[in-house]
Amino acid sequence: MTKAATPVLAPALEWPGRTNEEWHRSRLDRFALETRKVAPLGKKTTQALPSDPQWAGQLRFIDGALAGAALDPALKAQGVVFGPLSDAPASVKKFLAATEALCDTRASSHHYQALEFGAVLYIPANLVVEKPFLVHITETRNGGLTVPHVSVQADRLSQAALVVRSDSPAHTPFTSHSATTVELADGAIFRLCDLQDHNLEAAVLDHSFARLGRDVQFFHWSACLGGGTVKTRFEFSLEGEGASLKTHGLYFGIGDQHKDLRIATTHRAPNTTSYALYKGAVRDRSRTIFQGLIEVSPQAPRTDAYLSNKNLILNDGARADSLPQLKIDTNDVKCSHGSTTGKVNEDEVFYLTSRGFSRDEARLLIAEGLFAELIDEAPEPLREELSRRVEDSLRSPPVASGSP
Amino acid sequence: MSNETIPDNLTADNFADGYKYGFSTPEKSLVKSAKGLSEEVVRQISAAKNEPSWMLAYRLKALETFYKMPMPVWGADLSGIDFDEIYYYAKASSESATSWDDVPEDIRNTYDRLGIPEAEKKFLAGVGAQYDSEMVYHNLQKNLTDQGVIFSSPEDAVLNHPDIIRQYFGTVIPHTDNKFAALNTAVWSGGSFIYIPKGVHVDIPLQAYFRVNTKSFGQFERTLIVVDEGAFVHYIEGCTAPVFTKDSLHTAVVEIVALPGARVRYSTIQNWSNNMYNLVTKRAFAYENATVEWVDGNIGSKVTMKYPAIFLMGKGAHGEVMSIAFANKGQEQDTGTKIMHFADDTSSVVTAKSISKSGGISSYRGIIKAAAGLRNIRSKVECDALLLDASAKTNTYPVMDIQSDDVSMEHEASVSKISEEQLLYLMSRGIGEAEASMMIVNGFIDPLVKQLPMEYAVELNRLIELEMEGSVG
Repeated sequence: MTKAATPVLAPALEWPGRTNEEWHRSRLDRFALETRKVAPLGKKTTQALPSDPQWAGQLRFIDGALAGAALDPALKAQGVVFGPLSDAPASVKKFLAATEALCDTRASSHHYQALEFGAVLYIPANLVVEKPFLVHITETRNGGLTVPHVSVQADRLSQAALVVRSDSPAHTPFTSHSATTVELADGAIFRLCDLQDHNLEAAVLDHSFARLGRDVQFFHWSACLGGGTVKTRFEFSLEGEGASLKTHGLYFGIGDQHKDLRIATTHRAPNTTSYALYKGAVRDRSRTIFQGLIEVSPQAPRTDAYLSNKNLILNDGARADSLPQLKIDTNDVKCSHGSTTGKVNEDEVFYLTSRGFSRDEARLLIAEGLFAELIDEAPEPLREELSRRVEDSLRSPPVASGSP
Repeated sequence: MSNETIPDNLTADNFADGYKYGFSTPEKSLVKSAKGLSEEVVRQISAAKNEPSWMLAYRLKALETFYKMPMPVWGADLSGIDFDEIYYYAKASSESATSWDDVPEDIRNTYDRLGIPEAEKKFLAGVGAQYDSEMVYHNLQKNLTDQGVIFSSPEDAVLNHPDIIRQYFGTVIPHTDNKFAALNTAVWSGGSFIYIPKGVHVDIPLQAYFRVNTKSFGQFERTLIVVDEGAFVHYIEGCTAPVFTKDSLHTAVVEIVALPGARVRYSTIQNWSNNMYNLVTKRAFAYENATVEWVDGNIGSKVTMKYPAIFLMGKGAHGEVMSIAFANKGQEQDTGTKIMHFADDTSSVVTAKSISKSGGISSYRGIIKAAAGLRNIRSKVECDALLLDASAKTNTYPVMDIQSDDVSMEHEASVSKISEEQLLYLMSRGIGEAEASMMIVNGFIDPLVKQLPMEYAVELNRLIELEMEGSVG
């Protein structure tokens, strides 16, 4: 399913067929990629955003139009590029062409064909940026298609962090086909946080990709909260010797949500390491599918890779599928994965009830505790909000049945 | 099981020469179908067995299904199979004997070389021997016959126990299950039929041995095991074939029904020659408080696709699968397990181990499913892969599909090579590298080997040792 990282221009691609394992558990027609049209861009009223000491820079998109922008002038002077996709330097454009060539089906190439707007972040060599950047994308257009792209390039030995938030107000069904592409040059250290919080009627499709050079450290943190039908893929390609990847993710299924999340980590160079931890909880009639592939090519001896997936089923009728996968083509490796699916531990519930908590309260506390480990690793400005969202997702009354 | 000496110059490259079961006996088939598959061939097989018309009708329906169904594309490469180049039926002996003295001499010699009659005397309660399409020998200890135990060929059961056959045949694995189950249902021949009456414990194992002797041959044995309430049986299956230049096909269907409180253990050590496509469907239904255990060893064949399944149909049922696969040069062992939890208080344990070397590919493909609304489901899966050299390959594709909230499901998989620390420790104690590696591999497969009767454990260890030759240094 993952093609080699060398760009090969793809001819006209087919939609993923019935035999495509990646799409086996989700319906492509739910995304209406062929019928929904890109809605006209919102009014272009870019304003300078007031400076916020929390962020190194901010970009605000509403309905595809850049509504606000801010960038620390000192960073701008040092060569940081942070703006709409049209500002992308030649090196970023080249990388974009390369990721487009990696598309394996029409479902992924559709993003590049329909690409509407986006943001670019370029960090020059040796620059260390302490505060995170923020890209905030909001969609209010009803019934259409929105295709945002965030492209990141961090040059040699640079350090930076980026938060990408996407949301939409309630009751605006639409399709979002997004992608985040990240290219990290030798020695770069980068943190990317992805917070998806669309409304429950949105169809969210995402095809993201990251390329890690020599001795790169990449930390990817994601929370998949919203969306009615969600299908995402993040491919991590470890191409430089000594590259290391840490991915953390949390996801919830409530009401009738259908979420099919896939990460695919390919080790293509010696001494690379990857560590993945994904936790999910499902309730009501929702279904989550987690697919986590670790692939080791013959060129990647001394790979050390681990993937863990933990699913909590909060009520009968909710469903969680877990598909961890290993594809190992050389022997000098240490690769493993673990997956658990179940309910809240009864011994722990008993302990808390003996301390005076009600059964329901005890179960909620334990479930919240499960996610605390992940939230502690999220970027500082988001932690409180995330804790609150986790609490809401677990405690809100059951979402009534209805079409998502 | 045989005392033949193994040449000590074996290396990975000339391993095929060292396959000690690679001999063949000049073919002397009494009845042999024309090459290729057709309705005519199916009718011919049915006629040769004097079958009742309902079985022929079922075969023809399955043949239709076979033509309609597509080849599976998700697993191993099956493009080498040419259904028109295969002989679907060959009968080498006029009838099944109950004494080895009555088995034609050349066939008996084959089994002597395989060590079957000797093993029967020592530690088996009953033996069935299949040569190409037909069972040539079947025998069961008298005290078991007296207790109502039936151990015969399925053909015999179709004629003599049609009530049991009609009740269970094709119910665990319908002909529509997959293309190869359809093929087997259309052209099945030979296999075992076992019925253990209520409460009867068969303390020592029953064994069937499957031997292919004809070139470009397809063996399609059909096994049905029905274990009645509270009864127990351990069934062992072994298989080998000569090394021919043309590929052969082995497509078995094994159906097991474990009625309430019954326990069945089914052990296979598959050691087909390296020109065999081994594509089998094996499934068991476990009813209330029944236990089904598959012990599965895959050493031989060119391509194996085999996923022993247990459907836990009744409250309190338990399923266990222990498997070992060894993928050497040119081999693809695509194995795994399906466990379907369909009732409350059911539990399952899967332990899958694989060893790959010299470009061999071993894959684990499995599914654990817990249907909605069930209470107290427990399942634990452990897959370990050992890679002996840089060209060895392994894949792990498990699926956990959990639809109930009262479930505890755990899956773990790991891939590693022979640990340098362990090797260093053993070598520092004066053990040579090859022997030290063998000890580590033995330790790796030990949990599984322990589950086999002693004679088979010894045989499996010896087979692994043979496969390991030339893998160090």
